[in-house]
Amino acid sequence: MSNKVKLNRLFRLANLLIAAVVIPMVLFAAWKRPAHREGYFGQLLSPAKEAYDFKLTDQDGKPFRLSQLRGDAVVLAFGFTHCPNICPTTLASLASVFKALPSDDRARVRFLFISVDPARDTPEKLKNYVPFFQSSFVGLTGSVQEIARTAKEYGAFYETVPQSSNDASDFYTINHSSYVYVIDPAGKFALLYHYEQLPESKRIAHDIAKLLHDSDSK
Amino acid sequence: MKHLLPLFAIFILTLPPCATAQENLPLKVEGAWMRAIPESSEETAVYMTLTHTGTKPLRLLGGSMEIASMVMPMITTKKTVAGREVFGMGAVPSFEIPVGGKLVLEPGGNHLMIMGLKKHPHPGDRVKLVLKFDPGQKELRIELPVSLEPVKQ
Repeated sequence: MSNKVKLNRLFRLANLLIAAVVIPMVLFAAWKRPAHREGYFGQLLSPAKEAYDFKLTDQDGKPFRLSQLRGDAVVLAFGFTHCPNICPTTLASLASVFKALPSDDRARVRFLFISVDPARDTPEKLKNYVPFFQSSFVGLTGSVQEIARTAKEYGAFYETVPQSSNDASDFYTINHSSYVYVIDPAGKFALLYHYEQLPESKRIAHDIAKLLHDSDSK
Repeated sequence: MKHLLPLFAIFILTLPPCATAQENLPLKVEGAWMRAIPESSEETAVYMTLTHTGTKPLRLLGGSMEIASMVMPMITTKKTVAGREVFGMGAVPSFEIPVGGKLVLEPGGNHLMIMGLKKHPHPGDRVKLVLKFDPGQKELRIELPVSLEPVKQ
């Protein structure tokens, strides 16, 4: 048998191997990966836990509970209006997310901004501040205890830091975590975004639209 | 005429902020902008990138604005509390601008905090800012756009 024939047989064997082993493996891998588990840009919170049903006050001074929004996706951030850098950056990013949402989905995505500074952030102050970034955004405030409980339940953190350069007692800043939480239409924690992810408004909007459609098809 | 207004706004927004007077400062100012905020607020921030083209170190001390009471250098602090990333801010006396290097002031990072705003310019407006540097308390006058979102160059 010539070397050429041997080589030809080897090639045929290799081809057979590819056809019999590699192709089914690739197909199996593609089939095994269910579509709804991939493609989220945010951190997927699973198993999904019920989000704390807070009792706060909205920017019109009315009582406001998370459970009022069942059936809609909720995008939630903590902050305060005297914050010159992080909070406006977060709200401007969320306004971009809102604009990047498919127009059919916009009415089913509620954006909430919970103040961690209830002493200075009255409903009126929030009404002037939060909708400035996007008219449908809602600012929430409440009792010191309920805000503390809400932050704790959501895993948010904040602390007041007095500014020594000024004697006025209301001159202080607040250190706070800056995650954005997404709650699904069933009221469960679904996605978490780190502050650094927020400029990616299109990917976040894509996630939220996907979350709505995935929960509709359940 | 009305349909030209958005075009005009884009034109204004994309104009590079230009220094109107320089005290021989070897600095290039790029991408300066001020965050538009609602009338109920008195604090906002200014962002920019300063490139040092000279041979001696410079420090940005802050500055002044006709429409505000204070312009202060502010750093953004980050720490981890129980596994969570916590942001804060702190006033500093100045920002160092290394020779041949850049000082980047950007959303979510270090910035010039504008306090006691007396007027609230709208997105698309331009405002005047005097930056102050050491050594020598030298001033640099710039004009920058007001915007809701970062101004891209």
